[in-house]
Amino acid sequence: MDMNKFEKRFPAYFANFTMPEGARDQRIKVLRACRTCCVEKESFLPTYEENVCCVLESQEPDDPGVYSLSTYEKPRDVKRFVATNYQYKPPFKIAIGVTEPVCGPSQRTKERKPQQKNSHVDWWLYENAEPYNHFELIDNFNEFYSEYKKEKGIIK
Amino acid sequence: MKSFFQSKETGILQFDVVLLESYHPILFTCVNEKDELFLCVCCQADKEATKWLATDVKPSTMVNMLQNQITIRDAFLLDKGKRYTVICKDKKYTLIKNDPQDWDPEKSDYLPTAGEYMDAEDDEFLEEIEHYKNIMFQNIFKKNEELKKFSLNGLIFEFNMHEENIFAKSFIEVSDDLVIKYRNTLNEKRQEEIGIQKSKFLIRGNEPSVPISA
Repeated sequence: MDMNKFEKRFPAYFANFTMPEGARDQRIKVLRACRTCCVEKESFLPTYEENVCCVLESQEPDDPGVYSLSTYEKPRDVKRFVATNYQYKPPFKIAIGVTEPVCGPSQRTKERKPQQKNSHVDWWLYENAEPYNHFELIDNFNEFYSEYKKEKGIIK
Repeated sequence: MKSFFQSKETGILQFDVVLLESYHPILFTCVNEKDELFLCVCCQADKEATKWLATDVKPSTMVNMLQNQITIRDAFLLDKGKRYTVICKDKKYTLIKNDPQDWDPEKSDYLPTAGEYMDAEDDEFLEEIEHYKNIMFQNIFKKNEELKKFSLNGLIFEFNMHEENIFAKSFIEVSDDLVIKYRNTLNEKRQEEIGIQKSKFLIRGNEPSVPISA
């Protein structure tokens, strides 16, 4: 019996869409806005599960992005996300981590949607995956972002 | 162009530019059939409802936001345009005009967080800024028939922050005084350049105008 076959299994609702060809096992450093301000399961639910396994009216039911865990590579994008979403008013918390393949494959969204300019990363999680084990909370996001900009030479 | 929403009040809002998205557009502009520009934010997308705030906005405001000169919230409030809340719940869309809670900067949970800028990097939104500037100039040209006859690339771009006011009033009445006043707001290098350009054209009353070469 191949136990690996059973360990790496996607949730049943993955039958609703086709996994993009470009999705693969890779380690991308990403940021996740934590709704509960904690690194825990409730802050790391795929969009579909966050919406109680419903596809919202504004969503396409076969869009792979509906079923992924949303993350961003660049701090500026997650910063803009929390600034525009009513659930993330200060003091919000952002976690930093990696898209570990043990939890599932991932893809930079712009690889399949070239018109998407930002750094959104889709991460499709196996059943019972625990992505939060690979993340830690950033104490002070503004400081983190300032350091990031200095390192990248963005600050003038 | 894909449609975002339509109503008698807003017209048919078609997607124009998406500035931020995840699995759906979050911060974006739309245009309707009257070429009115709307700034929209999807401030809520969960099992309760999907909710957007939308307001008509000047293209110069969009440029200012993308150049980190005003906050994201300011972009929604500064122009004091028409203010709409669009809610989708149980597959039904509802439009509310001027919701006092949603649009009150003191009370709203749905306006973008106060004090937050786009923090755009230098070349990040060059295309989008160009797009909104083109809308600005198209709007100016619509108001001034004379301008359609020629192009003043250098000077138009120089009046970046002021052109809507200056041109909307009466471009053909741009006088030396006005140019001098504006020059005084610029640094030395640009003052010199403006001086040179001004001497190359004459726009006063109904006198013929000479286009500036690029």
